[in-house]
Amino acid sequence: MDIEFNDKMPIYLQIIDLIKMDIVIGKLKSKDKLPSMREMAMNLNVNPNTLQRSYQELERLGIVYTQRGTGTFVGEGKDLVDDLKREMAKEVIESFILRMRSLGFTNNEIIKYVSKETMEVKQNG
Amino acid sequence: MDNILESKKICKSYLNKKALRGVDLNIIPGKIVGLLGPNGSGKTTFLKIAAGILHQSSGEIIIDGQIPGVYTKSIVSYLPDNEYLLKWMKIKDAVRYFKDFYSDFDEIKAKELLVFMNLDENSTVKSLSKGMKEKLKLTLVLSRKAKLYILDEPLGGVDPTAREKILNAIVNNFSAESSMIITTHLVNDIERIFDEVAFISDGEIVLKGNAEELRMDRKMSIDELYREVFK
Amino acid sequence: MFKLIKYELRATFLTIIGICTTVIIANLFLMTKKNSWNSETVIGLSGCLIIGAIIVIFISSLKIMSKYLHEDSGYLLFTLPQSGKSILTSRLITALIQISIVVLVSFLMSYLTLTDEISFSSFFENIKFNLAIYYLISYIWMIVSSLTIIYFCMIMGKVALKGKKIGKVGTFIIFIILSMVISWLSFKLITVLPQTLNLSDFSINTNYNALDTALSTSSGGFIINIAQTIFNIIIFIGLFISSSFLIDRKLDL
Repeated sequence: MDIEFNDKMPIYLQIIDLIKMDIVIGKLKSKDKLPSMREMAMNLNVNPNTLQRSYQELERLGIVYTQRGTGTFVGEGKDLVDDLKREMAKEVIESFILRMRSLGFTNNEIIKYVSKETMEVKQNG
Repeated sequence: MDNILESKKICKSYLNKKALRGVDLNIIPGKIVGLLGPNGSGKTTFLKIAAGILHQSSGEIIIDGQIPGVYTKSIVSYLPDNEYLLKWMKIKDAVRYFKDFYSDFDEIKAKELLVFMNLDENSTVKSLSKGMKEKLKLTLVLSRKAKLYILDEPLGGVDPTAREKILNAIVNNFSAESSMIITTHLVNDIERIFDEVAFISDGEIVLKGNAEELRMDRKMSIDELYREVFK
Repeated sequence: MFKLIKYELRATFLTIIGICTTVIIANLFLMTKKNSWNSETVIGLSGCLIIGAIIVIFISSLKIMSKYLHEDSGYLLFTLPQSGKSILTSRLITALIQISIVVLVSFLMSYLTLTDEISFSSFFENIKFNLAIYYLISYIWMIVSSLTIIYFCMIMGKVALKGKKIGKVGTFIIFIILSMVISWLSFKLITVLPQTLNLSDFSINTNYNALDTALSTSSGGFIINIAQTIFNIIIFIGLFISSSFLIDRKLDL
């Protein structure tokens, strides 16, 4: 796996985002077992301690849970996926809005552009 | 938790220069530490002292509770930055050699690593390219279940594909009971593996800390931080 | 320690084979010329072969230590969990084995060349058991003690004078000084304590004879100076322990 990490940001946060993404798009479903920390570390060529930090943080956020001796699993909450989706979308939109504003667009202009572009932007196959 | 390596004010002076001017570095088990600095900063000198083949002019260094000697050599696996393998040997002889002298050597792991690195155990050391020699050295060093691994420029002189393999082997070798101290100036390739980094300049540690925290605090990669520290 | 010996022998395998082969071939050549050349020439050349072979293997033993101290292969050896004592002992034993092989082959070949006999009965009949043991011990002692002195000088040279080139010249100077000091002390000792021990009947003699050398054989009996022998043994032990200590605590690669 050749994930392009941004070394300017803590890696453990980026791994958390990756996993959240997988959950949102359905690659990881409720009760699915996450790869072991060691396995993921090997795949990503990243320090296993970093993985541990990511998994611990995900557990703290309630997104995954650990069963001693068996592994780490995606949480079961019905709203889990939806909540995550909303949360991630919010992050994307917030940073988008900030950037658009820094380019000089007003809120109304931003909404207009978004409506226009959603028609035109090609769907990712 | 007890430190696997503890160094207090390690100094090393030669006739005409001071290679180390008081290095304080502590490493607990389960950590991978990067010792980063330009050529001549003292990285290799420090590692050689930890490996027991160089002796400090002053200061203390304790490895697993003992000063460098026969015991520490048995729990420290050292990868030097030179061609130290005996040229008359074949790869399988080198494996045998390590097995004979190090009780923590895992022959099965060595054989697996050789396959992973695409090395044929019947080749002679003489016939190997520089990259293959590096891979062989690393294979031998990582096949020991040591408490402290000291890797001096494990990525030196190696092409990018081989580097991936080497990094992979290093990550795979990680265990919570042992630690690694790695020097390199190819920071970019390897920075994701470090738990902690220590920047050494002119024989002194000028900055050290947790890699992720440094990224968060300084909002830059360790590679960029390196450039900034040593500009 | 024995593993060290095993690997060192393997490493120098070709050298020993090379020397022995040369000696064998040269002697075979001499055998063919035995009848056409002067017998003195043949004896002389045969003797030269022995001396030459021994010199080569002796120097080879020194070069091995030099490589350990000054070249990259030393990193491999000195990072092994082996004490200085162990490294030194195995080096001495290996050198002894290597030199002995060459000596045996050389003497054997010369014997065959000069006598054309394959029987050793006459040889063995004339040997007195005590004498043989004495020669054997002297032989071992000579090799081991001279190597120890030189190795000590090499290690001291490396420890005291960091650079490679300076180290080798330094080694030589240290060796000269050390040899002179030891010889001088040794001589003084004989004059002060001239008691000698006759090894054939274990009688102690107090005759002072300035012409006696430390180990001399005289028609059937052999005499050693007690004080000097003890002195030599102490020097050897001292240098050995010092070398081990230097390797463990002071050697910087």
